Amino acid sequence: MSDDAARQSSLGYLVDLWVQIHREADRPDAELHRRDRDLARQNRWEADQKAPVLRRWLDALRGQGEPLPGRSVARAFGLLRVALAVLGLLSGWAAAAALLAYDGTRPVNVVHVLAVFVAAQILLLLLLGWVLVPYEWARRVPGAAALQSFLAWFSPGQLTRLAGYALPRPLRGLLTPAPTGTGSAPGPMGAVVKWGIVVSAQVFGVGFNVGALATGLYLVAFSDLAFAWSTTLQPDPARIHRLTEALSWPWGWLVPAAVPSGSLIRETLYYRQAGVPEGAIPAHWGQWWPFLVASMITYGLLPRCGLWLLAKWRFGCAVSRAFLELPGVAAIWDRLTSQWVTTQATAPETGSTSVGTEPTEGLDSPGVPPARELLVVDWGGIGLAEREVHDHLSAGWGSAVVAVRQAGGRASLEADAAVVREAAQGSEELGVTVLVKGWEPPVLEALDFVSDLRAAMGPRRLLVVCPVGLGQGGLPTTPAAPDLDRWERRTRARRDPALVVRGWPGGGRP
Amino acid sequence: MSLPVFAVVGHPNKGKSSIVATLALDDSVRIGPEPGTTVRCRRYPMTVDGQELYVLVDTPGFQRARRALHWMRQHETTADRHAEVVRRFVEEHRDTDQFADECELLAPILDGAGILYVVDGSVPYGEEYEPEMEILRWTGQPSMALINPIGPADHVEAWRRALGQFFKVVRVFNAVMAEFEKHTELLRAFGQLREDWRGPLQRAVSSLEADRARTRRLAARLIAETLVRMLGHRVERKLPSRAEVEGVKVELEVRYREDLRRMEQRCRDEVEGLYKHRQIERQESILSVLEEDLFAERTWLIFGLGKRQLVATGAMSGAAAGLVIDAHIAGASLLAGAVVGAGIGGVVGWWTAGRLVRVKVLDIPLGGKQVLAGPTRNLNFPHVVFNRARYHHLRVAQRNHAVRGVLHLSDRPEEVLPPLTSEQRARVERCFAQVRKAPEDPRASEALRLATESILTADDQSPHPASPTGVVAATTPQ
Repeated sequence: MSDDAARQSSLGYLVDLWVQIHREADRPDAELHRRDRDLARQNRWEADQKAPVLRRWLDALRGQGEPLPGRSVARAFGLLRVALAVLGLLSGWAAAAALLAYDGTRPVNVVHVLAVFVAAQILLLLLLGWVLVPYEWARRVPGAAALQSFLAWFSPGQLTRLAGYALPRPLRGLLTPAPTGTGSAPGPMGAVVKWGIVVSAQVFGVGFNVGALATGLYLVAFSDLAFAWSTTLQPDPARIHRLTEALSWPWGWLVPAAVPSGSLIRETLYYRQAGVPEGAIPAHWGQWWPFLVASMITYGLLPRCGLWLLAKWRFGCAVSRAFLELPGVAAIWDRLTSQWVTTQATAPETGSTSVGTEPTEGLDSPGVPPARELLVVDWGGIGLAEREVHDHLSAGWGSAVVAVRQAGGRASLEADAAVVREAAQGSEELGVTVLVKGWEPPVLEALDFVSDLRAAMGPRRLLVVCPVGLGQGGLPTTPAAPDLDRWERRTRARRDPALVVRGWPGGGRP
Repeated sequence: MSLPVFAVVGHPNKGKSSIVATLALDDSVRIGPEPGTTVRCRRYPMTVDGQELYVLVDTPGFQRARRALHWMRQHETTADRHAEVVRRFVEEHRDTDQFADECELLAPILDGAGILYVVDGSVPYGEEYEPEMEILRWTGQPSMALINPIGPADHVEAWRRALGQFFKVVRVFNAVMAEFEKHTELLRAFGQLREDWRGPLQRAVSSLEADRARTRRLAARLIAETLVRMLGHRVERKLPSRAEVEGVKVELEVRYREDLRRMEQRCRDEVEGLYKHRQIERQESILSVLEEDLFAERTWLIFGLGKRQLVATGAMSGAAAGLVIDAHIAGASLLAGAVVGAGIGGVVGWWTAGRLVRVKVLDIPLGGKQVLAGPTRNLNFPHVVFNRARYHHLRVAQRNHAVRGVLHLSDRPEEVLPPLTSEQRARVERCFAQVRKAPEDPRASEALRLATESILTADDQSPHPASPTGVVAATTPQ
């Protein structure tokens, strides 16, 4: 692991992962797969466990210049917790200074101290317990989830969430995964936010108790405090004694001096109207402090410290769990562990041969004498009998067929040349028809032959390319329109007014 | 071991590019009715983690094969030097226009590529093919003939007889209809051409199959996530407490339906992208929400508190006040104060919420009405969306990359989809219920993803009624 990785906290990695998943949500899988698979292969991550691989993956992305804010966010949250601890210390100091203020006129009322540092803290712990009830359980009791949500708003840890509003927009969602703002909604980030708030709240709580305790001890050590108890409810001192004994139960066996005696309770009952009772021994009035300090430690500081440790542990678990369960992690793992397969071309396709697109002109082109007779060339071995060709073309076009010759296909080049020579010798009224297979494309070899004929015949004599279609049972027929069109476009590109394309006339035999 | 390279050659317009598009899963390959659509060789390397396992080369068609063979025969010496003559032919004509296509297509073969000679089995065999086959035979490279029936007519047997005289292996492969399994089967068959090509081709097939499974996994995830989003989707509008809501309902309904349609279409596009179909034009009916009672009205209050939270707050405050009274009488009331206080506080909270909405502070209302459209409660809705997605996935997964037409999607996918087993149906039903209950819960979405993946896999493997023919036969003449 690199030094950088070692310094990065789990929370920082989680933030980075969360940000990266959101950042890449709209990027094509192919692009990401290629990048991630390359990283996995270069670094040989295949055999490793998921969490370390994901951390190395984030380190690698950071190394490639991806701006990942995890470290800064984790540091900011650390600072925020320090601020909460300081705020807690100041609050504790202020509370203790106010409650333990003694100017020699009226003693410090023990009831106030217990109410704030014991009763209130126990109540807050109970409320916190309610907030910590799993969301799945709370939602089963009508109104319980709503109350939980309401209570959660009063946790000092919510300050962490408020700090989220200072973060850039994508990071804000990290702190508010649940639309209701409960912080305990389902989902891996819900648990992280929930326990994050609890940790922050406990940091504040520990700070508060430490501040209060330190202030109390300071005042005990450096000033003389007088304690008494006073309440309008006028309870029986014996009942108060039982209550203090019950409260002292956790430490009474260890520090008996921190358990107020019955005589102390009776002696320190105080009425504001009456003032300090006569005969009161000032030395006894300070004997409440061990009990109060023990109460603050037992019911304030220790539960907060315990909860802080528990919350920290649960927070760590939630972070680790979320790191592997965030929606999007499965896709990343899939990209890292699946082979990157490509089958497509690496270079773009180059342009095709250009062919003419002008509209087709008719057989009887202006300035071209009509052909009364036709020399027919069977190109490529269509295999039509001479009689068949004669009957069809006479009936279809009204031209007499003087001869049928073979060229192309299995015929030799010399045979082609002989046909060209024969065509050259005819009169202006002798046209030449080249029968071609309509179902085959016009290859250059056939078009070369047409060009040779034109060169030999001169520019004015009619030259017909006649694609023959393929009918039922292999009989010649009119070619399909797309086939005819294909031949027309290729011959039209030659811009020869005496060269026409005409499909085989009629289907079957005449 | 040499890299297997296959040059796909043949007469123009006989489906060479279609075969390449199919085997390379590339719908950008130009396929046209004009001869000369391909004028330069184009390489389609199949790579796994950057390592080439084989290469397909699309080539232009023969244009002057008879003249080329004529030249070669004029320069022929003995049979053992045929390949040399072909090489000389290419060297001498490389820079001329006369045999540009022949030189281009022969070059990779002379560099060692195996030959895949493609013909159209739906047109009759013709003698003009013989010079092409003869030239290819002269190169001395391992070769295979592929009969690609482009049209409906059947001349396969005649072709098989003719090709068998020139090629060791003859196979029928419908490039446009072949499914993925036929594609991999053909790749395996290429291994018959040379012993040392079998290993890389086998590895290529395994990688393609794994990649296919991954694609299906990603598609399942996309479909499940889209379904979760659609099931939980709602649009809302906050209004003053006395505002008229009917017009707003119409507007919200349009927005709601449009949002759902957009989500579904986006899912379609992404699934097509995963299967490397980037140029599909779809024709599909618009998704219907099938629900009349789509709306709900609620009270909204400033600070984001809803009526329930106000009631809870009131109850809590009442209970706290009651507790103080209980404490004053030293618990003699057995917490009755807290209970009564909670009740009173709750009622007051409920009553206050109804009135608070009308209160204005600095002319800003503290609350009002909230009109919501969705999420749909129609039990049939997720099934409709799911079946449409399944059907689209099946059509895209089976669609060949050589097909260029519009993808028509049936209005009644359930009639053409393989039926779900009772176990699958129950599983999907459970997932839908889970998603409806907790749409934010990633476990619900994950369960739906797994169910979707298993169903897509089953769909893909089920014999489809419109299952086309791919490789139907192979012959190896002695």
